[in-house]
Order: sequence, then structure tokens, then C-alpha cells
Amino acid sequence: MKSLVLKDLYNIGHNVRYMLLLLVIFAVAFIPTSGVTEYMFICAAMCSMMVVTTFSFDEQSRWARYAMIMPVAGKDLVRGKFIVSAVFCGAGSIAGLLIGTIGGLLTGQIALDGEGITGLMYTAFMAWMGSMVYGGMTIPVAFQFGAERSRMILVLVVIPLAFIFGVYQIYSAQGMEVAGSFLHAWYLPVIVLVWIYGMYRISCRIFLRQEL
Amino acid sequence: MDTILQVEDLTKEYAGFKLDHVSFSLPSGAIMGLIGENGAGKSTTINAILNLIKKDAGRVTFWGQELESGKALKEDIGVVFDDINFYETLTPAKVGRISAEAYRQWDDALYGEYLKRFQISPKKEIKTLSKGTKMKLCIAVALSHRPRLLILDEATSGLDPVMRDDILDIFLDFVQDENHSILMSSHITTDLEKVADYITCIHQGKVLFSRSKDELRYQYGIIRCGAALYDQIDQEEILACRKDAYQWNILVGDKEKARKKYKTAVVDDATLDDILLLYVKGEQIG
Repeated sequence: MKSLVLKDLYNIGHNVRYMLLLLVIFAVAFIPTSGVTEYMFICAAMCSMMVVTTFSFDEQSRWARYAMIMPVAGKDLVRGKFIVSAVFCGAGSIAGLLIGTIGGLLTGQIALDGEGITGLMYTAFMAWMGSMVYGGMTIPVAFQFGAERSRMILVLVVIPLAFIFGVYQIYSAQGMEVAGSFLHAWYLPVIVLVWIYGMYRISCRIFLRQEL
Repeated sequence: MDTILQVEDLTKEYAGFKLDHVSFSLPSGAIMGLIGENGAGKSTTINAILNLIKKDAGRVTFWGQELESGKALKEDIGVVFDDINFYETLTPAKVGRISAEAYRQWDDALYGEYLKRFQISPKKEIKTLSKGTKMKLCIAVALSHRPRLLILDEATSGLDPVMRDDILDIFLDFVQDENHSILMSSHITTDLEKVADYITCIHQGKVLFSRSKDELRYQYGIIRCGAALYDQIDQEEILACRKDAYQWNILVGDKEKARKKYKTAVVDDATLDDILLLYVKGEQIG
């Protein structure tokens, strides 16, 4: 399985520079207008989408059938995609934390005191959790529909999520507590893990019945 | 001789195509060529052997074990498809590192030797390599985990004759070890005439024959004759026949017998191409 993860990391290596550039451009566009928290979520979400790019590379090189002649099982291949997704989401959260901190300091939105640092770390962790939920969902969709169609499907999924987030922002701006208690719940990581396990099981079912 | 690969009644049905009870066995120390026209079922057979598609029926065993029995069996099987399966931005060096993580038997020094022998730069991206060099890279990867069986699906198609000759030499080197075998599908029958010990011919999803190449080369022949002689030929002796503008071409399984029996007829040696053409485009009788 390590070979499968390594392959994806090598493959995506070429895109890292462009992704970093994009994140910097987004920082300029979003931090002054939307804020550091929103930017950090955007970073993590964008990096979580990179797993779909690895599917695209795999499809172009017909990797899956080659992987299955190597001494790895089908479940290893699926598991490898989830590990890669976790790495990408983690990288996105860290990039969001670093760029967001710099942007926040430059725009005077944050202060690097104890509370500020705790808030940033917490936001980065939440961004990672959120992107893992999204990234986890992208994997079975990509196994089922392929990289290109899954991108379109996942964009369609983002629209209602963006709408819910927009409503949440409006209510929050009016001082109403909507989901705060939920977002601060200790059991959120457990819910995320259960979600990812569910997505893993669905992905296995899809992949293992495919003909390569 | 031990049997390395045993295929029994392999069956797989798609809409409009059926791989129909394909059976053959590959002994150790031998190269078997899988021939047939495009769409005959060669790749489907290989995919079913490798469990890449789900077979409807039949059994495939490697050294007596089914591939489902464990990952360890795959260590001993090297596979080369008709195109490279590593993404184009990878380099041979990275391909080596990925493969080293996959195979316990991976021999990095051997991989380095193959890269040197094939004059493949470890740092060049795959997209910059020629088709022939990509195939050589695939072969280097397949050989560097020290398999005992190589399975090649049209691995030499699309290569120029010089490159093909180089690659065929590598295959001949590989089977110098009598525990090694190769199953290779190809529609370039001249390649198989050079290296194969056995030929299995598939046509419309069915095995037409699976015989030693020498048997085909020394026993099969083609009677070229007119209609009058054709009528005299015992139908049971005819494996396949085809009428062209001037004569009948009749494939028989015993050319010496035919030469003695039909003294006025021309009886030529049969090449694999002749045999394939007569079976595929001719009429099968015997």
C-alpha cells in the first residue's frame, strides 16, 4: 500500500507549485473580504479535491489494472486513496494556517497572542475535519463515475453546502447561535471517522466489483 | 516438466462476445505465444487469467494455486501490457522506488542494471521516452522483482523490428532458467516464430489449437491445388481451406503424408501467418 501512496504523492508533486500559487492568489482575494477562517476552510477544501486529480492520472495511465497485478489487494488500493486524501487535507489545512496567519497579520485581522494562536489551530483542525468529510465523499464518487464526471458531481454538491454556509453566516452576523455547539462538540472527530469508514466501505464495494 | 500456468475452461461472456471454455497449459522453461486476430479474445484471456475481469466459469492456477490465494503469488508474476501504466511525469528512478515498496523480492541493483543495459536515463520523465524505451522500462520493472512467469500482452506491438529483436533477446535470456516461462500475446507472428515453444491460437473466443511450434512448423502444410484435386482430397485431412482467384489453399496437419498422397499438388510449409489466415478467413472442415 505504501507504493500506492508514494505513487500518488510523486504524481501530484508536479501540481504542488500551481496549487501553492493558487492558494496565495486566493489569500489576496479572500482574506481581506471574507476573513482568515473562511480562507483556511477554502484552502483545505481545495486541497481535498486533489485526490480527484490522482484519479485522473490513474485513468490516463490505466493504473488500477497495473496495481492489481502487483502484490496488493483491491482494498489496499482503496485504503491508499483515503490515506492520500488525509495527507492532502492535512497539507491544505497547514497551508491555510500558514498563509492565513500571514495574511491575517498583514490585514490586522488576527493577533498572535495565546487566544489568537489557539483559535487558528482550532480552525485549522476544523478545516482538516471538514475537508476530510468532503475528500472522503469524493473517493467513492470518483471510483464510480471517474475523475472528470466526479468533478462535476462534486461541484454540484458544493452548491447546497455553500448555501447552508451562507445562511449560517447571515444568522451568525445577526448574533444567533446556529451550529456553534455542534461545531465545538468533542464527538465531531468521531463522526468524521465514522463518515470516512462508511465512505471507505462504499468505495471498496464499488471498486471490487469493477472490471479493469 | 512442471506446469506453471494451467487454464481450464475459462469462460467470460460480454454482449456480442464470448470467451468460450479456453484451456491450455504452460510448462516451465517455455514461451507460449497467444495468437489470433484483433478481437479474438487474447487480451480478454490474459485479463481473466490475471483476475482483472471476473470470469464466468473456469479455473486458472499458477504453480497449482489460484491467484486469489494470496498476494505472495503475484511476486512471482511479471506483467507487461501494451502501454506503460505509470503516469507520464514520473521518472524511471521514481518508478523503481514505487515498485520497490510494492515487491518484497524487488532487486534495486538488478533494476539499475536493466536501466543501464536498455540505456534508459533514470531521471528522464516518461513522457520524453520513445515508445520502445517505455516498453523496455516496463520490461525492466517486470523483471526486477525476479518473477518466474512473465505475461506479456502485445508488449512488442508498435515497436520497430530492431527494438523488437532486442526485446525478444531479453525474453530468450529470461527462459534460459528452466523455472521461468513466458506467456505472450502478439499478432506479430514472426516474433513468435522466433521465440515461442508453444502456440495457442484463439479465434472468436475459442481455442483453435494449442500445440508446440515445432509440430506446427514441421507437420502442418498447405496444399495449393485446383478444383479437380480439391475434390479428391479426403475431407478429414483438411483443417481449413480457402479458395482464392486461381487455386485452393488447404491446411493439412501432416504435410509429408499429403506430399506422398497428392503427388501432383504443391505442398508448402505453413507459417504461423498462413495458419492463422486460413483458420480465420478460410473455412474450417477438419
